[in-house]
Amino acid sequence: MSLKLIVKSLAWRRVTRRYPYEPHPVPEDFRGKVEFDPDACMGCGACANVCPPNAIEVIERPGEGVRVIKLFIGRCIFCGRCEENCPVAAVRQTDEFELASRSREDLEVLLKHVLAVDGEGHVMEYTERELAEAMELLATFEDRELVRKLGEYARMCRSCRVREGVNSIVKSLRPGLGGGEG
Amino acid sequence: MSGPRSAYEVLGRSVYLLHVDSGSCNGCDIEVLDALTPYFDVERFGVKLVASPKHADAVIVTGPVTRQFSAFLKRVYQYLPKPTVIIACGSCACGGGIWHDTYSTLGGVDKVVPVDTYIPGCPPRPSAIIHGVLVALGVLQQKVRRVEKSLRPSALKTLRPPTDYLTYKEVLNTLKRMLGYRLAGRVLKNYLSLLERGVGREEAAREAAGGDERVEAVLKALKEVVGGGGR
Repeated sequence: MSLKLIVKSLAWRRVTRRYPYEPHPVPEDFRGKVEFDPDACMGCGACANVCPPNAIEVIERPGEGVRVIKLFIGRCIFCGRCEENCPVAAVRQTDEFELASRSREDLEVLLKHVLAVDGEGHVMEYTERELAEAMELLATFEDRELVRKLGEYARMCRSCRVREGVNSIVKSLRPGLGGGEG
Repeated sequence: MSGPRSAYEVLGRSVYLLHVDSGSCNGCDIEVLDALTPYFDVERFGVKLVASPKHADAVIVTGPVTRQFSAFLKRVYQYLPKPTVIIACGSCACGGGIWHDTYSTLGGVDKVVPVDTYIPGCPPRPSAIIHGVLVALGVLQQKVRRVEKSLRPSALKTLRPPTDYLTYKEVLNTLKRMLGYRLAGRVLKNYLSLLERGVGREEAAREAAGGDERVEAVLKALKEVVGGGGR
């Protein structure tokens, strides 16, 4: 019996992978480490919204005028929802799977985005890049007057926008009253 | 057990590994088991599973550490002969994973015992586990590094859809629904770049599909949607 097994195993080819000494190829569409394209990411936080384990977080620091997109690979479940939902295709899952790390800090990815500032020096609630992206897309619309008006509003901070909106409503209701500080 | 020397040099023999399941879904456990099979064979490196913490030189912990189990994990740590190596295997063990803020888990092994090496993955592949164990034992070097980037607003590559934005979004969503997001992104990129080069719609659909009849049919059905976009 055992002799039979030995003969059989001699005839059998080697099955063990020589893994650390030679690469272990991944299948097509393997979902590995999440990577951000630093030139395409606009810091909208859509990935953080859909991330089931909150591995991607948005940290707002309006005092410093930055928004930080923070990815902790140690909590990522590699589901691919960030890649699926990124509006500008800046998130990609690579083939990388050798992610073992001796410290927690090495598993963190931080992208710092500059928050936009309006004409009066107020820090806005979206980043410079979001504004640029929105302007780019607005330019493809047909209605020039709407584009101009929307562009104007987009360059104001939230409180300025509220003031401007109230002013324009007042103006339309009682011509001659609008324009004051509101 | 940090420093330039590997665990083998410190111990002068093979490393005995204890596997502790702290409330995992069994995904990581099965991958750990897979790493022991002849196909991956972590025993090539002398790593052998043992049943008692008193015999173990290193521990591989899977699972997010449930509240019920945390006391036992502490006890396992007390029983281990020191120095020891603790390996957190899987996203749950590393940072709590999907359970990081539930009431019934502590969210990560490092909340209870000190961790030497983290192996992210949900679950990590067997080869990733082998890599992680060898990193923990000081044989291989880790590959990931902390990334911290301040992004300049001027370096932005804006998304320039070839048609108007709403049409582009509509086409992309239809494709995602029919083909899944990965295939949709890839196919649409090819298709649009072919259209941009002035290839006819039928021909572009055939070429972008790359012999996949299903994709070709979907792209041909898209014709009306793209046709409204002006290009």
